[in-house]
Amino acid sequence: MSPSRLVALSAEECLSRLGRVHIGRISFWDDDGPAVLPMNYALLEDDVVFRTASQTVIRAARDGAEMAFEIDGFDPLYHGGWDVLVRGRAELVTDPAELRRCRALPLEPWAGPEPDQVVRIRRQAVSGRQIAVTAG
Amino acid sequence: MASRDPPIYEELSEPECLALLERAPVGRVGISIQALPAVLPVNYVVVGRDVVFRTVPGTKLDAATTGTVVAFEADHYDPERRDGWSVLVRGVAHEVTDDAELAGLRALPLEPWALDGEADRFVRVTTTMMSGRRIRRRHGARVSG
Repeated sequence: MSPSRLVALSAEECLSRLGRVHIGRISFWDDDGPAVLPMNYALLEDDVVFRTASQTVIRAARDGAEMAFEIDGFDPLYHGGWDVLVRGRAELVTDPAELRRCRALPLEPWAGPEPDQVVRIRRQAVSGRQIAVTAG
Repeated sequence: MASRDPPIYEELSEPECLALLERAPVGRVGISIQALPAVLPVNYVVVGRDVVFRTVPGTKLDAATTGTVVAFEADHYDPERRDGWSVLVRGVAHEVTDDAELAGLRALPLEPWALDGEADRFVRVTTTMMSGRRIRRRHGARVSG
């Protein structure tokens, strides 16, 4: 195995990667502990937005829960990989104008056929790492 | 777009979840860092119904996975077929210290996400809950437009 190390990605690079990927994972604490769920997402003013019909997620967003959002990429051949982590407070989008903008984004809910809501993660921090494989 | 070929959802049994976990290359651990949720990718193996991954001492992941309740998730989504699956595991993470168990784990094809140091630890998530679901399309093929 070649030695590898993690190199931090700039905030600009993190946002650029967030704009190119369409599936990520949210994480938050529900009544039973930590949860991680995949989400189809888009960016609105550099914030992560997604549609969900999950009552657990909707309740967390209504309560303004702290939420993490992660995307990653992985190259099995070269053992290369990267990940970006967004952290912030979740909220339900209720403003009609904002809702219209969100509904125009290419978003599809992963959850069931029940009516869905739009959740926005008000970004407080973004960080990312890339594995740099050094010749070895 | 979605309404033309609405998704069908299936809950997965634990054997189905384990079979999918066995073949996904990367998973993600949901932890708390500074009392806030965070998600970090890991390489992992399935041992019985538990998940094992490696961490590097001194890292945030290592600190957040000692005797704490964590979530573990793996998923796959095919954007062409618009189908996929996800599995969520919840359990208590603890460092493996038993010599025999460690010897067995070292023989497995398991590398840390990034080996950012020399020594490393094996962390086992003792599963307390496992759930999964599959999303598929009735027509099973790409819908244009």
